[in-house]
Amino acid sequence: MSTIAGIDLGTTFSALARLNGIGRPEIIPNSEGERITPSAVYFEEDQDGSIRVGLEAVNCRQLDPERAVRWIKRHMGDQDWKKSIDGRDWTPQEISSLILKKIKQDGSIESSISDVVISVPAHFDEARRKATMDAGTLAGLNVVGIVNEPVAAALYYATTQSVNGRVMVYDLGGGTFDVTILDIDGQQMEIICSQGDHALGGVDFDNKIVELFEEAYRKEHNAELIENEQDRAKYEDEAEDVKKTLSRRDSVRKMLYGAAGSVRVEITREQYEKAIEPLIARTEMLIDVALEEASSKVSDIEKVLLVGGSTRMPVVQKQLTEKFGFEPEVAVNVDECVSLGAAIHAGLTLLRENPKKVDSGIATGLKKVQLKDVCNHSYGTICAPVDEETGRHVIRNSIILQKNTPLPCEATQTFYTMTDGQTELQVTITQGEDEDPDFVNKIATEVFELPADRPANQPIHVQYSYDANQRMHCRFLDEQSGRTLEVEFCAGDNGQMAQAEIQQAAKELNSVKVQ
Amino acid sequence: MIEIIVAGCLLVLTAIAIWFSPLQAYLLKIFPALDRYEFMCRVQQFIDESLPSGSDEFFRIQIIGRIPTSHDQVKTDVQVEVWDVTEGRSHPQQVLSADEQYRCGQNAEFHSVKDNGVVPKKFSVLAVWTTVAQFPCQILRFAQRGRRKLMFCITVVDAESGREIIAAQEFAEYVYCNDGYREMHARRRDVSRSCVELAAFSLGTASSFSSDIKALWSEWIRQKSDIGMSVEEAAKMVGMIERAVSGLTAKKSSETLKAYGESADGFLAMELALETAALSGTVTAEIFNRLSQVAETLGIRNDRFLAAAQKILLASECRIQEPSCLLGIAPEMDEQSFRKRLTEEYRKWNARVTHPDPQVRQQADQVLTLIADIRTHRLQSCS
Repeated sequence: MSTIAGIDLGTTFSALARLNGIGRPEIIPNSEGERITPSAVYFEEDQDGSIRVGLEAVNCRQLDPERAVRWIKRHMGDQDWKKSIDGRDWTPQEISSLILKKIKQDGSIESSISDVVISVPAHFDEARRKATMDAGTLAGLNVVGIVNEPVAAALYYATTQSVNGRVMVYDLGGGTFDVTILDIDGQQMEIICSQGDHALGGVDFDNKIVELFEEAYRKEHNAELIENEQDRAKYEDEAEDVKKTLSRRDSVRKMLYGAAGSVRVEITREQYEKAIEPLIARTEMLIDVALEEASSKVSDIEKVLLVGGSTRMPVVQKQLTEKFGFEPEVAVNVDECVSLGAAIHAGLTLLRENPKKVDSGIATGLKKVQLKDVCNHSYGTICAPVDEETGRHVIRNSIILQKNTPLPCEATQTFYTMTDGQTELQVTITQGEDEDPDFVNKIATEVFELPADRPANQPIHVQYSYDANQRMHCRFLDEQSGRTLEVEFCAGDNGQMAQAEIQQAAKELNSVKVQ
Repeated sequence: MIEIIVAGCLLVLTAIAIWFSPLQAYLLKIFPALDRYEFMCRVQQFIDESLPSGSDEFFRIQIIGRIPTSHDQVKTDVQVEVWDVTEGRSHPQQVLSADEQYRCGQNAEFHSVKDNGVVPKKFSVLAVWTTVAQFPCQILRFAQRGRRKLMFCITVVDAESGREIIAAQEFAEYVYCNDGYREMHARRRDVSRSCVELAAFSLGTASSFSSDIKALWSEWIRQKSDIGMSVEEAAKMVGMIERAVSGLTAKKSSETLKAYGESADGFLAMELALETAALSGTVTAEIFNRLSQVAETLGIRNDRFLAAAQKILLASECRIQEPSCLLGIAPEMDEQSFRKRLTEEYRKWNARVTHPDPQVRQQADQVLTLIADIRTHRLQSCS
């Protein structure tokens, strides 16, 4: 039997965990013996087809930043983003698949890794989830599911610690920030809500330090410190070191070498914390939003669990202590808990969908674990109601399934045809909370054919349902004729790559060597 | 004397012979009054009490008499046209139809064509009053409101060749209780003008307007006024507004707009003012206040004004001098309302940060950074 595993495909680091014989998750170190692998890729110039992934890629990056890719997760699902290397365009999925390939390769020394669950930020939309699944498939993995990072962390937390009550998972990673509120009762977890900030993480904190470098250099020499991508790559890496050091010390001294000469700078923790204040303000606002969505007060939260490398910053812990009145928990390894939880989620998913694939020891180990998840986004449809103020029809996004509704869930709304003799209805399935259709993702559009020669105002019942495996089913029913249109898709089925394309790309990538 | 009597008798006999000969048709054409079966039409107004008030009044058009076709078995149609001749037959005004069924192609003028069946013989007579058209009075649109004198023109035509066979006219009176299309046209003009005036007002009455702004207004007048204004007319209106800019007030223009426009016009005016502000390059605090004032006088709710302002101004390349206004933050807000307002905005823009459109994503990123900066500065200054 192949290994059941979970992968945390992070913005800055990735990690692999597997379930042992009794259903306990454990980290599989990479070939360098490290428990986490930098999510960085470097395309070697000289050695044909050879690609470096991990620490070596980070080290090589300063040599030629044009051939290196870091923080690819921020571009996941972006159809326009491409990295052009030696005449070949690499998509975010393909680059992520190289990282996953390296992880799979390193983790398959004892036994092959096949069935995996990959973690994604809770706020990832369908396109990003699909892109993540595609990346796994391209790497030759059987992606049995996707799990939200804070949920994975909570799964690991609840199964390893004795916890009861309302918990907030504060996941500040390398590139993204998620807040999840859940109720834990032993090994039973009920997610209440998740909120995320797509563009807030360690990288943004690093950038603030780079700005401090630039400011100091400008002040001294009245010249720019960073003149090219090579300089930027160098100082981004140095900023990351400074940030980490400032989590342990009060100040850091650094020599900056630019075209106009050198300068010795000292960055204090106070200075740094002031610079990142707007970013910390964003985390606080996200907490407020999450609390509001969970209809909870600050006092309702009994524990705050820290996840993600950026939570090591003292300012984060200080802010949370001030807000909640108690210190946040660092009960689990902030870099590893997501992959460990993802492995548990993989076991739970296989137990539900294909129990034969799960060893009896693992099944027994996971027997008591229960997870009740919620809808990650709101789903709706585009309609044309009459605006009360203008008296005219306006195009609106009408939400049918609300975000954070416990799974499985189902909801129905009735809409009406607009014109006499209307024989077609363009149905659009949307994802997003906005009323304005310009600001929501249109994840599917179909044409529903209706009978001819009927007056306007024929009722059309729209029913959306979402099951525990994140499969969504949409049914459009014309009441008068009984005609139906059914649309079904799994988390991410609407992505950019069709199945045939994925298989073709997987074949191509199979020959690519990662080191 | 005898000769005269004989000649008279011969004349009478000839006339009788002609009357009963095939030449009779020509004779009747020359002297239709001689025909006791003269072709005639009549217009009746009736009320169908089974229908709801407002749509219960109908015109019924009927014809009777001879239809002098050139040969037997002619397929015929009946055309009905209506003219408003209140100002005299020499100044007829068009009567429009609100129902496409009573129009000819794209033309909005009232026009009804109905199949009149086959006329069996070339001098057949329609012996009883026959209804050839019946339509609700409410579909008719007149130039002006009030008592209208209508001229109904009924023409029987050869269905194949389209050639006129015979025609008749009848007059009727009708009281039109709605605004006439000419009155509405004039009001739409006023509404359009008011919209542009409000846009001009929002930039400040001392402003001179760039060619881009004037082009926007001209195009807007042409596109949105619904009265088919030409480029020259639109430019003329813009010129007039520009000359009168110093006397503009939000109140006066809003009142005109509210009196003559529909409620949607207020939103159109708001959008135009915002687009104008976006084109001005920099939206100063004063301009934003004026925009807000315009929204208020138009009775537009603040949340809708802010949503439109964010959508239009952030999508443009203009610089916003006081971005906190755009987020609905007022300096006098207490801390709790300030936090609540910012959190609401944060929630909204954070959901847009993963939008498929890179422009929306970029906007969302910018606004989130802005929100965080505003919050940091405000709370710092409070502490």
